[in-house]
Amino acid sequence: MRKFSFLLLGALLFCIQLIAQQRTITGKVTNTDGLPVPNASVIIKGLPGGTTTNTDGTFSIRLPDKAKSLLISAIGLSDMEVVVGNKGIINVSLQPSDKSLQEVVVVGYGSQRKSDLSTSVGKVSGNSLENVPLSSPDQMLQGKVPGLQSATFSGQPGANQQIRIRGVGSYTAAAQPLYVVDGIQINSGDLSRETTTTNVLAGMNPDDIESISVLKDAGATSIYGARGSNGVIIITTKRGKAGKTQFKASAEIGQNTHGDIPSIGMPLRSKDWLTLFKESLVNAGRTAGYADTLASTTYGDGSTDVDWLGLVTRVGKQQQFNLSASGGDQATKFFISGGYFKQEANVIGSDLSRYTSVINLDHSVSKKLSFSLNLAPSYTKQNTPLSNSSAFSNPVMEFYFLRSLQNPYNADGSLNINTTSKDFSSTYNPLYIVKNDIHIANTVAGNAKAGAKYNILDNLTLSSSLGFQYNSLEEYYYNNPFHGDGKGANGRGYAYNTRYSLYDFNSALDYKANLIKNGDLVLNAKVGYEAIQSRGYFVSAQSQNFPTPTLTDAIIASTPTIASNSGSDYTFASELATARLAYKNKYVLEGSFRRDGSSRFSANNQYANFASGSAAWYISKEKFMENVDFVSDLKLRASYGTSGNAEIGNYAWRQTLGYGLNYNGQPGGGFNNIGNDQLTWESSKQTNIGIDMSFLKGRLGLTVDAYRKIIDGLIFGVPTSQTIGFSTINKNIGAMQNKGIEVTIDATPVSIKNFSWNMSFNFTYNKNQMKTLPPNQFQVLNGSFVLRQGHDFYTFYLRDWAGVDPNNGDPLWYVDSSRKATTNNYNVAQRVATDKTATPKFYGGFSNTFTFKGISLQTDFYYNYGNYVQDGWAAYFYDEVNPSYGKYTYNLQRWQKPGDITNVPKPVYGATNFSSSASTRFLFKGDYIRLRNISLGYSAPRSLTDKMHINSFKFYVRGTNLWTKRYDKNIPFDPEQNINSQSNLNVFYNKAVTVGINIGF
Amino acid sequence: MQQMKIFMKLYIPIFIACMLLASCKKSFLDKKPYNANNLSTAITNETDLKVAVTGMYSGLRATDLYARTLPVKGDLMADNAYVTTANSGRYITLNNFAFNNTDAYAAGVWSNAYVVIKYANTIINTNLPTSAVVTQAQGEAYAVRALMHFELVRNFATAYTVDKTKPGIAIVTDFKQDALPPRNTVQEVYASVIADLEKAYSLMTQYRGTAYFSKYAARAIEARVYQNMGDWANAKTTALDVISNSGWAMLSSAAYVSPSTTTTPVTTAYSPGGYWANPAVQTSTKNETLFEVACDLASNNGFDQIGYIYLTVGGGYGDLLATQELASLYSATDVRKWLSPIGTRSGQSGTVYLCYKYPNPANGVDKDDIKVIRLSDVILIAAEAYYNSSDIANANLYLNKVAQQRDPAFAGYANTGVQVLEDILTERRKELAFEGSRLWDLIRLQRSWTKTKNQNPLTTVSVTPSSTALLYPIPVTELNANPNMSQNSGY
Repeated sequence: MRKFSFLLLGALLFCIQLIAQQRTITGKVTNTDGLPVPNASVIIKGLPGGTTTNTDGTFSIRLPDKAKSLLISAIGLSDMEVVVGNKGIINVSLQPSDKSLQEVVVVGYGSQRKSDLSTSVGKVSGNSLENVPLSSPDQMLQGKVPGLQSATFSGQPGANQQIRIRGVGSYTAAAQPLYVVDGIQINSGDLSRETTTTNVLAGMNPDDIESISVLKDAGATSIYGARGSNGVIIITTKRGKAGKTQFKASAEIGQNTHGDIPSIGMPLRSKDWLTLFKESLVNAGRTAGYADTLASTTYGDGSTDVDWLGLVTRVGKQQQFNLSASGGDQATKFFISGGYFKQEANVIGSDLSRYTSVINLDHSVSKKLSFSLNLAPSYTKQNTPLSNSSAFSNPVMEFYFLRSLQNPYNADGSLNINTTSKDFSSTYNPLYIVKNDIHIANTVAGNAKAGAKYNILDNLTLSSSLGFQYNSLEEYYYNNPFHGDGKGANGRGYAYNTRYSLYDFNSALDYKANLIKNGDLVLNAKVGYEAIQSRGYFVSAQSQNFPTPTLTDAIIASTPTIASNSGSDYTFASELATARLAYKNKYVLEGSFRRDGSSRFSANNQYANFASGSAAWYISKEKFMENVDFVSDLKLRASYGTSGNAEIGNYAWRQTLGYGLNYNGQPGGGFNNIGNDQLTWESSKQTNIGIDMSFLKGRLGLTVDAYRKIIDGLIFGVPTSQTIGFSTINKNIGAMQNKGIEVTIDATPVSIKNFSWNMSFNFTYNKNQMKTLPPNQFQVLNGSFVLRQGHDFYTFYLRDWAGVDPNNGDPLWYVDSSRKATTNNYNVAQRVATDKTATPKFYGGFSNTFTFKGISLQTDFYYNYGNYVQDGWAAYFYDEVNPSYGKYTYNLQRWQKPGDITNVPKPVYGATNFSSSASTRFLFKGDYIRLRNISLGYSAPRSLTDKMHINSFKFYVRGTNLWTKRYDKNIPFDPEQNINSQSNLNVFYNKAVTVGINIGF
Repeated sequence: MQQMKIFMKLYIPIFIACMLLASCKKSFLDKKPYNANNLSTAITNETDLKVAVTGMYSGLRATDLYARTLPVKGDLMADNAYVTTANSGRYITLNNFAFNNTDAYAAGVWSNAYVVIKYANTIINTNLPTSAVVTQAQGEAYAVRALMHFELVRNFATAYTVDKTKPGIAIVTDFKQDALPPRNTVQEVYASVIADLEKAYSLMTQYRGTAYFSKYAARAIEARVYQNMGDWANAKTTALDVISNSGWAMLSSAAYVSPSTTTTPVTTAYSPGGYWANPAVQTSTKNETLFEVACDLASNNGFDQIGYIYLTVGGGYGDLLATQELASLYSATDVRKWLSPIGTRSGQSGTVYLCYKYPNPANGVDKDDIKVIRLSDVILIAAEAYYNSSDIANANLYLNKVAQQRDPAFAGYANTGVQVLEDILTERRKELAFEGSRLWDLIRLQRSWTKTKNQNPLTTVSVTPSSTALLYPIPVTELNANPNMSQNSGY
């Protein structure tokens, strides 16, 4: 008993002593707006011990006597050190940090603070993706990230977007970057088989996106191994944060109209069309009387003068509605959203509506174990008439091909489907087609991911996740029996079901060690494993001969013509590892390694190894920089590494006998794939040097990157002699190089009490050069382009137009590149590798935001310089080589009498001089500046929102693509075409005006 | 602590095992295509060989081979057809008699013919135990290979009768991935064609129907080849072999053509009836057709069927019309007149003659088959062979076999001297119109002619034996890939 009480006393005394040696400090952490900062870290400097603030910003911490000061830090805010002294309560107000280097950036398999990056990564935050009337987030990237070229080739809602990061990266393999959505390497792009263009990302609501990271240099992309060479775009959806549940609701409506069509590119109206037509007949040796008769009997007398533009375009409606809730506590966090988006194109018959939802959950079971769940289902409905050149039923094509003399209506007001030469003998009435044909693509899609994280030790974490992407497109195409493609077969119905399912399993061990006790030298290492499998499943059915136009599904038709299924799969199995060594966060060294095996690589050559190394030197943290006040941050980075491009065909390497070569009702097969058992991935080596600078306490930021990327093992369809029964064999044989400079300038020129002006300017210069072509090949033809050593990938290779002979109106071309002689014989003129390319010399964006109290005005310009655009359909719309079609207004400048100096030759009916065939005559400067966005918004002040019992209220008006300046007076259409700058009668680019409100409560 | 130890003991090894396992699981990285087999193991028995033979024939159905371009070329570049005013832009270069070295139709014939040769070589070079099926299959492959080399040499090279020492085309008998063959001479090519046809004749024993080659179909092609060579002795022997021994016969005039109406202009409901309106292949009968390329509902070229280029029925392009000169050759009692009746074509003024040899492109049950060689052609070859051996009596006899079969009221030809040749050529023109034959007759006999570009307003092109476009250009893609290949002059 005595022993026990003595012990008890001793314990008590010990406790009292302990208590006497400790005291409790409480406090509250807020930001400059006076709002509490939850989850801020409060550590005792130099001693173990710390805590985090509660959701209301308060904290309570036991301090030993020795403790002198507290270190308080939070993401997005500057760290602060507070001397404790004798205080019992410490209230701290944290300043906003220099945003540019403190924000968190998602990178491959992890995230880093921007200040810790040693690689070149561009980030677009979710804010700039909200309230934008574009149908997919990749469209919104244009002009936002230097080094990323994003081309919108069609104004069709939900159109695929062509993106190239640091130049064109491949010739045969796909050149699109790898898309990773919430850790899943998704099947992206246009998965449809019958629809002109669709986009997997159009099934994503940009409002649900937290951020997009664009990985550009090898240091960042090498961790994606054989798929990283074209750059990687990582999209991360929003997740909940602990705190009171925040609701956000937004609504937007507006309208879409067609983009500018230069007046010289407008088709001629009846009077002028007939004048030119008759003149061409006279020039062909006919009498004027004959010309008059032929014109009026074949096409009409001109009393019909239809404005096809008005008929084929419309004012489309635009609307979107979103609602989200985000919240949680220390253990569980959630983000739930739902959205509806509808966009009617500026051309008849084309629209998109989309329903999306995101449910993201995070739950900590204990300090050691946590798991997360992502669910993102979506449903997209698209109506798409054939919206590029493919067929006569494309309204845009008909707008150019039809004559104003063709009347879409009969005298009684019904739609005209007569097939006399005056009516629709070889072309179709687009109004009838849009009304009676069906062309839809419905996509049911969803991403799902379940992941778990286990902290084996404090510095050793195991995480695993299984992600799943599902895309099912139901495409249906119905041609009516009376007019158009279905006429001959009494109606046709095509039903295509295209289904892709992909799973991505990855597991990794993360290890962190303080190699020096005080935390000066930190090692982060990761070792992991990933397996990806994608299955494509395709079912096709086609029938014709319908009994009635009142029902349109193929089941009622009498004759099935296609009934088939097929599939296409690929797999990847990889091991990956990264390591990062940081000394005092001043010197950083990083490395990555990945080993990929894929079903796409031949069995002889199945595994690929990739590695990278990068380093960063945070110069501004050096002692000698301490007194340089005007430089607040200065960091130098360099990286070098390898990555690959594995977007080659799924089965391309196999030499096979294929089936489906049926004949006379019997199944047939033949040797139809030449294969190549040496075929494998393309690889790239990239060097990058970058510098990030920040001046005047963050008022001015400058980032410059210079890079050189050499792409090797480029797969070329090396032309073979066609006598072997093939025309090409794929070999990894070429090389090309992209080098360039990217510059970003962020500045806040004005920041006074109620007014601030932020601006952001970026500039990209990229030069592409072919380095190696297949052996014995001086050049490789690529349509209108040629690949030649030392030249840009998209070098135009055309006959060199020399104008029109003033004496007789003949078209002239230079005989060859020496330009010493001209000829009027198209066959004698040789094609020349011009100095004109489809690739721009430089491009970029320029944004300005002006804020006055609650009002903000933002303008975003996009500029593009140095490329040329080719009119791919010139043969039909210039001159009278094909007299029955529509003609550009430009043709009115034609040669009429000797002495005329003009660029339009003498129009001759049915001329066989190839004057409108491909040549540099139809290359136009693709330079332009476009006002991509101008928006005026008003955010209600606290006083007003408090009265309304909500957190925030914003109202905005926004104009998209309202103004464009072109620089070639002869270009007949908008300069923004494909990545390969060839026009293809796509839906016109979209101009939109929208108004909307955002409410947070 | 305990829990963690267990965890470490369990999970880490599992994790590492997974990593190692997956990299060892070969089958995970072995994904086979859904529609093909590895070439080396694809043909192992008779059934596989027959499948390969079927695949070879399907190659002949390429739009730029027999499905459209070859038959069209033979009439459009000659004096039988022209492109109408309101057209879809097809075959303009043929109509204008002007090609450049990127001409798509030329390139199409070149590449597709060599693809079929590749398929034929796969079959010929496969070693399977001999049997009736295997020898028949290989015999058919020899015949198809010969046919393709023959079409290539007469499209891309100087006619044998003009200069057989000129460059021909490359003879290909095996698959070599890196081959860059030069052009064999015209003489060498014809020699290999004859050798292949002789081999085919000796190997084949079965008649599988008109959609496949048979012994006598190969012989008939051989007769045609000798005709193009001007080798009349052999032309006569082979033609007579077919006529006497094959068991093939011509149809009666009523069975040949039986028009649905004789009121002109005809409407889109018109049918020529009889043999030409029947899209079915023959499986056991031997009427008229020795060999044809079969098209049916499941396997046809859609809008690229030859019927659609001649007719507007079913939404067809209707780009080609028959020339007045051709139509005026038929007498009032010649049933073949009803294969080019007067009709209408929007955008075309004047009298319009349509071609109705391919009336089934929109048929919901079966599609037109393209005749490659018919008995009447062989009979006329015999007539011409007799003429060239100065046997005028037999020349007229055989000539009249065809002429009087088609026109029962016709008294028969009875001319002498060089007029007989003209009669034969005229009869050939009347009989084989729209089957791609006319151009070759004109070229091998070194004729000049006026090609109609459009009937109304009448525009023409004058063609002489020295016109560049008599030969297709070797496609520029071939020349770029194969430095040993030379181009034809004028391109």
